[in-house]
Amino acid sequence: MKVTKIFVTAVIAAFASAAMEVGVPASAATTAPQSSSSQYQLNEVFFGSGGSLQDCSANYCAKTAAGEGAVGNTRSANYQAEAGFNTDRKPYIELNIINPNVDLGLLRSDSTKTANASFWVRTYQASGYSVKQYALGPTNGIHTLNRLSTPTASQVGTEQFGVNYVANTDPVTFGADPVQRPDASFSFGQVANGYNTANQYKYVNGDTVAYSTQNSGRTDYTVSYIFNVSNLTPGGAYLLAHVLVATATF
Amino acid sequence: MNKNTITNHQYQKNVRQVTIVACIVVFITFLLILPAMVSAANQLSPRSMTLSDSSPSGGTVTSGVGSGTNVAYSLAFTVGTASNVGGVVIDFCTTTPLPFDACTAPTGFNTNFSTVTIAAQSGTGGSNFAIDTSNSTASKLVLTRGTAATPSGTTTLQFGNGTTTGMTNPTSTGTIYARVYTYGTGAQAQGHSQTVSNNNVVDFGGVAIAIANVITITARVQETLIFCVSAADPGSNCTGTTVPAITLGHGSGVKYIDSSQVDTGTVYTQLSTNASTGATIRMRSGALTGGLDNGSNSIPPVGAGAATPSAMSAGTAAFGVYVANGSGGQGTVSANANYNNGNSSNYGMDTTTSGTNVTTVFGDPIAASTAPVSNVENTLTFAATASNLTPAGRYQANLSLIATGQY
Repeated sequence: MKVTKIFVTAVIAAFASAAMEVGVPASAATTAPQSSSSQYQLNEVFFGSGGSLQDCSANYCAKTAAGEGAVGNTRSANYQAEAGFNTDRKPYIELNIINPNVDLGLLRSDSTKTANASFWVRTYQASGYSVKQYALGPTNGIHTLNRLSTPTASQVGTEQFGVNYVANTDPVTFGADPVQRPDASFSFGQVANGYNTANQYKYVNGDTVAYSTQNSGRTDYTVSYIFNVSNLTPGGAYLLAHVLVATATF
Repeated sequence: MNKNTITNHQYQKNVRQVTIVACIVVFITFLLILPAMVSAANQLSPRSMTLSDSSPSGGTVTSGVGSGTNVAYSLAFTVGTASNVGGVVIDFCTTTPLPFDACTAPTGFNTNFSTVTIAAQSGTGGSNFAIDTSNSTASKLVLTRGTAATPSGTTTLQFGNGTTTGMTNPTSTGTIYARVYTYGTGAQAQGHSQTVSNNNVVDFGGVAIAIANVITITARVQETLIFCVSAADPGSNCTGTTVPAITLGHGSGVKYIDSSQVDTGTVYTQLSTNASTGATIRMRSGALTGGLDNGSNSIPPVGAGAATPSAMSAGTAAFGVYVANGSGGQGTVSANANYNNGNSSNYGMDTTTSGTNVTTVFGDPIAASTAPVSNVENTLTFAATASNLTPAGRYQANLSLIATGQY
């Protein structure tokens, strides 16, 4: 009898576990599996005390947690998991452009114009992300400013358009290196080669400019633009619609 | 009796225990095989959706990159189940990436299913799909193919070419989701419902897509024309110029011209302009004759003011100029044939071409470019000689050089 009782206890435990596994097969799932094998998947599951996935009244629901001791991402080469009561079951990627509109005024052949824009990226339940840039370059409709195809220093009087994503001191002090928020143990975004050298500028349409090789918290990036024109640069209003596309791999 | 009663009671108890154990065994067995009985959809992993433009539609940029229109969406995935796939469904939702959850279509988003093309599809067993326009909607793409196959490796499906065909992004920034389902047959995919689960799904994967503002930078370049005339060779952008007042002649002290030789003097012009079709330099003479004047007397233009350059002979009174082709800087400023026939000893001073000569209101073209130029210099060599009959006096001409850009 004692054995039976122990057995029954084990069965109940197995049932509880199996219910979570079988009750939400991926083909008919109402939650996304965060861990899975060919036969089993583990969904958003709450173990232990001190919180609840759904505390609901007639009109409102909340996820609650108390005494949460350890949160965050843990990973191996092939798997990762989010620890904590208040983990979200929705994967996401966020790309937020901070100051998207810049008017540089007049460009002259005897000086360099610079500008900054900034954006941040974060992902959740991803295995990494990349940010690519798109736009032919600043154009007045007929002429497009010469884009620097390799990292090059700014040169006054030579038609140049380029960007980088780090802090610079030439032609002026401007720009900033990526900032990991809250710190580098949570966020891992990096600037891609070609765009990560101070005072060297480049612009190639379609290039990857930033990336993370793993799931990453928020990384703040600053785009530094340089515009140089020559006496040959045709007049007109030059517009750059610089598109950044962030793609996560889940 | 007592013994029999006890025995019977014990028997019933044993039967009950055996029954419980049997039920438990059966239940456990059921639980163990249940996963295999239920359709075991796996994740599409890894998976991603790459856009050619992440800008929201309906903004200030109305076409091309940054407009959020004709956006190519490239779906890449690796199947989790080695099984035939005959159909794929992609739902686009704002709410969650989770399968069969309530789905709200992103505002402004449109698959443009009736016009969008599968611009590229690749991967072993991952091609030959076509868009089922009968079952697709503005927020759902249904792909089918005639013959199901088992994909392996990365399957890539690109919708739209990103320039003339593609999807329309939502009008708002933020995250939207693509829910990707694979089905064994095209018919199963056609029967897909966004919110009603079914057991035909082979694999599933949710993908988050970021819609973000486009960075717009505006800068202006003015139309420019930098032109100077200098006695000294000017520096870049006409720095270091000196007044181009030259005195032709020879001899010590006050210079003079006579019949013994042809005297010359040079000035420089430098031209920079961003005019798209270049600029023209014209010369207008203040001398009524187009030569060098001294009140009622004059030294005539060389070649009697003909439109072609000619040699100047010492002792035959004449005044003219040779214009060298441009040098230095960027671009080309070519001398006009009236002032350069390839021989630097030949001079011109056109006063006869009707409507366009150095004595007309806007002067005579002496050099021109057909494209923007920067810091290109032309050297003008003026030459004069007198005859034995030329009255003594001070002969002079004020020559105005005028540059005009064609923008």
